Amino acid sequence: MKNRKVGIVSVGLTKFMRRAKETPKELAYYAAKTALDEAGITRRDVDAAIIGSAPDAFDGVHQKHEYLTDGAGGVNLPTMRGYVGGGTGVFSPIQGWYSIASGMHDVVLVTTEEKMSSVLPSAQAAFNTIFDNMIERPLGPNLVWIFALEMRRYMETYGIPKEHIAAVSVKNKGNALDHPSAMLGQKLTIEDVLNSEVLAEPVHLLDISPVADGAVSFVMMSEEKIKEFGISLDDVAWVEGVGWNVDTTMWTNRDLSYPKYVEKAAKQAYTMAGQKDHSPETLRKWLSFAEPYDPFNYKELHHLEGLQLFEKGKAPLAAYEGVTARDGDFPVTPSGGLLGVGNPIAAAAGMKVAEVYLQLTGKAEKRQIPKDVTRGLAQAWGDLMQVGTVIILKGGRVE
Amino acid sequence: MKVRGTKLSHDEFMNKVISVDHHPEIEYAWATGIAISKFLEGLKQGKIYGAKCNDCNRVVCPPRIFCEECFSPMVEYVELPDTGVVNTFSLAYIRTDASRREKPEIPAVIDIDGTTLTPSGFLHLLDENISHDEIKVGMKVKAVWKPENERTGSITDIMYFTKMEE
Amino acid sequence: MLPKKRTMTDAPTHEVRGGFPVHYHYTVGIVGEIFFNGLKEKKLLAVTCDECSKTYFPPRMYCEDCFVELTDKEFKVLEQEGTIESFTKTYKDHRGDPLSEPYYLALIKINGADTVFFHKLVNVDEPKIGMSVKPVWSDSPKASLFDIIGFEPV
Repeated sequence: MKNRKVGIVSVGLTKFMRRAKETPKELAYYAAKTALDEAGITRRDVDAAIIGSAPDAFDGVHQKHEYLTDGAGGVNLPTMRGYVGGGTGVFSPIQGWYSIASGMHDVVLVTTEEKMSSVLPSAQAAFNTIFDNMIERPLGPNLVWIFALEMRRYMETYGIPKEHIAAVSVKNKGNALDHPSAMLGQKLTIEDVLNSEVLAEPVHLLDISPVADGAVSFVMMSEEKIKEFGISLDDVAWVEGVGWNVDTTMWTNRDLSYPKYVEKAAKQAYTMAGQKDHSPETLRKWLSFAEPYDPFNYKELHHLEGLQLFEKGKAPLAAYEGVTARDGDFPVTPSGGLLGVGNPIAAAAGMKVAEVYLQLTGKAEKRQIPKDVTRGLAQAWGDLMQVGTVIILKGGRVE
Repeated sequence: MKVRGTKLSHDEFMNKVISVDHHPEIEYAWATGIAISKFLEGLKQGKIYGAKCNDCNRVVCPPRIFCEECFSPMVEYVELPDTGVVNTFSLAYIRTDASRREKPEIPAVIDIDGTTLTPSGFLHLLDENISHDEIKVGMKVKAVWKPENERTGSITDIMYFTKMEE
Repeated sequence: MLPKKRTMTDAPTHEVRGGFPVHYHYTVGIVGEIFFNGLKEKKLLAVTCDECSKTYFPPRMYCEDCFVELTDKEFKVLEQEGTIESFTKTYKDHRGDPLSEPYYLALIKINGADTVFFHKLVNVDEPKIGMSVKPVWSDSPKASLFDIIGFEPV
């Protein structure tokens, strides 16, 4: 049986904030209601709701999906939460895709949410519990360690200078100045990044995205329903490919210099979208831009390589030379990313999918890429550095 | 599109708006299972154990009772030397509660000698007294153990790994 | 099939202990502020959805059914009386230790509300479903759930 065609018809975002007054449910409501209003429909038109939220330990509410259900518009509907750590925000619209593509539902409301300010003394303390409870936690690790270790291995393997990685922070925090949800848009220089406080060498403060509170929602529909509601194709981005992949939890047994799981997820998505040639040159022409996951600046580069958009070890120089600037040959993270807009985990990846939608429908305002964009990719990453989730969207009128 | 949300300062968040505090009082007792029990028992005896897969023939560390690639059962433990190679490391100035340290601790992934196909190992700490300039990816290191009577069957029975003399 | 040699299980089981070293500071949110400030003034504030006429107590930002926003509606003061919808007597604390004084917890529908409120019962020997109850207020309310000490028979 052939999959049905599925489109995203609207998005809704809250501000991303270090500390929000709203409860997690209230944040979810803002995003979900905005998305419904933007689509011109009501909750009565919705067949199913999907909730994406990362570890319960941040909001401090157990079974966060059932807690969020009413705010996410899911009361008395087939509502569910899929959970793949930091990869969740891209996985949630993938779930939306398959519940519609399969023929099960026609209109799905997808909401991604995180409220990280609730957890004290810091989000680090909750992140700490991702480490192995028996042979790692007794060593007193914190989350930054793991990224410092991966970043060093990546730099060492390919001989990458720190300046090239720092260029990603400059670009993304700069792009975020144009994002209405952003909490950390900044005009910076590479020196500012290199001279910022050392947290765990080689990771400095400005290499990291800020923890945040926020929510992002989508309305997704079958092609038939889009016609029935009379929604203009100018407001639609079609889901063309999806992919996800999980590597082993035994992260100390993996090649830390290359995210193989992102490669596998990406190839699944490209193949589904009919793109058989996975060479970087072809893919960069085929896609107009990308929104890879950037909780740390080196991760954007790591992911661009896993996504096959650059050769191994080659993404850093491209970032440094401006290839990935919003007005560059291949724009990457025009939104400002997690580094600039903020990192409310599941909602942060949701924001990336929203950016692809907004760019493809020409609604990205000051962030609009200054060329025709027909096709974009969003990717997220998570669990114990082991999950890749990928979604490819194309413009509503693109054949 | 309207983007909503009410930002609070730290003071407003902690002291001004109405809030509810919760201190979970939970503790966990994890039984270490089959393979990690062997690993920890080995550490108590001053030994590092890995495990061997009979299908793909690789030796991995830490040990497990199944090979996650072949999905066949591991058939034997292998005693490995207490030496290895630094896969990667960091100089960490930040604690779990986000407070800062003057002198960094040095977490590292150590690939244990004797693991095969692809090197594998575990997270541990490097000797804080090694000069920072000397620490390199690829550096050969050796475990420094707690005195035998202080070992409890814990990952901390190895105090840290230190640089091996050339 | 598992290997015949059972040499894999020869080590004694160890135990590793650990906690979850976090605590939480929850803001009560936009409508939570209205509700808790009401309690501080010894008022039970509720909000009604215009579309389905459902009255929420405690009040909410939105009608969970119609999904319309209620924040800008007029929050009305309910009368200080309700009925017991259900109740239970609790003999143990959250650790499972016996309570020196077992107490009642109840679901109470305040008159005029369509939703129930969860709180303690006080000054009652034998509660009954349908019994009329009213709040017993603290002398020093501070915008907390415990500004109401409990509900007692009318």
